[in-house]
Amino acid sequence: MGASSPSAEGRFDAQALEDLYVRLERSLHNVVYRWLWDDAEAADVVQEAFVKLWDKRASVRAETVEPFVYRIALNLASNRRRARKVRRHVQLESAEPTTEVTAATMLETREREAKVRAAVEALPDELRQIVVLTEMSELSYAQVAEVVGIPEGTVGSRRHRALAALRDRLAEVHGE
Amino acid sequence: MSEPRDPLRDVFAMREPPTGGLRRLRERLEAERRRRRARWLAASTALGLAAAAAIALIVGDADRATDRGARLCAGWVAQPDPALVSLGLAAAPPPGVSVAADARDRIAVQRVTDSDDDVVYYRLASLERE
Repeated sequence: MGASSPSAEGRFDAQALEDLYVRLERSLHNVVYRWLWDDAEAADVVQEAFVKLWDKRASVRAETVEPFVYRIALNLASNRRRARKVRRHVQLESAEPTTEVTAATMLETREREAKVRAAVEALPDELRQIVVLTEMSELSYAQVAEVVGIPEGTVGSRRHRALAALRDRLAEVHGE
Repeated sequence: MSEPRDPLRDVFAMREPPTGGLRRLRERLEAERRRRRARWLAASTALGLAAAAAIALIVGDADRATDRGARLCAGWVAQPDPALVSLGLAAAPPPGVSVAADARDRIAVQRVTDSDDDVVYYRLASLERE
């Protein structure tokens, strides 16, 4: 646990919250981004997670605060994703066809991002959670296991499966 | 010859979060604090008003009870002590029942002696023949 953990007396005060935010903001943002694929929304979810963490500060323990905030953020991201799916479904049904023309370079970047996104999205939730947490956060396997609620030994095997699935999927896409 | 590109590099490319995150978090926490304070104030005001209304009801009822008691007490105090009356130290109480002057030839009033000095009975009778 770093210097920005709850204070030595065990209190989780405003300073400890801010220190933790500064330390985890980037990795949390990247984890949440792989759920929502939107920077503004991911940033909002990270902030909401810290507001919720502050609400629960009385029950925060120094040794579990990091997995705890990741779990809050992932739950919030999943909820938003579900809500967005419903919204999108409604929007797609009523959307008018557009004739927007995109520049070639922008299209290329978007295509690459779309392929990456499709590969990640193709993973089942339990594999995506593991691979995103292990690759994008600084959590240990034990902490990832705590976030997801699985035995520590399962983290490694799921990560291996997830990476293999991603490689296969991307190789297929690039081979097209 | 260059190294083959790792296809996973794009997947795990780190993105930078929008700037000013900590400032926004502070603002958000402050807004949350203000919202809570307002909610707490509203709730405690409502609770205070309810408590004040309940206290007013209880006190009002007690006041009414005290008034009744005071009136009864005043009535009782106004009655002279029969012992003092018998010793001629206090004036006899006015008769509890008085008959109008024009009815005195038709109604008779008689005080009934009783062992209880606190209660006075009167017997009323009509003098008219049926």
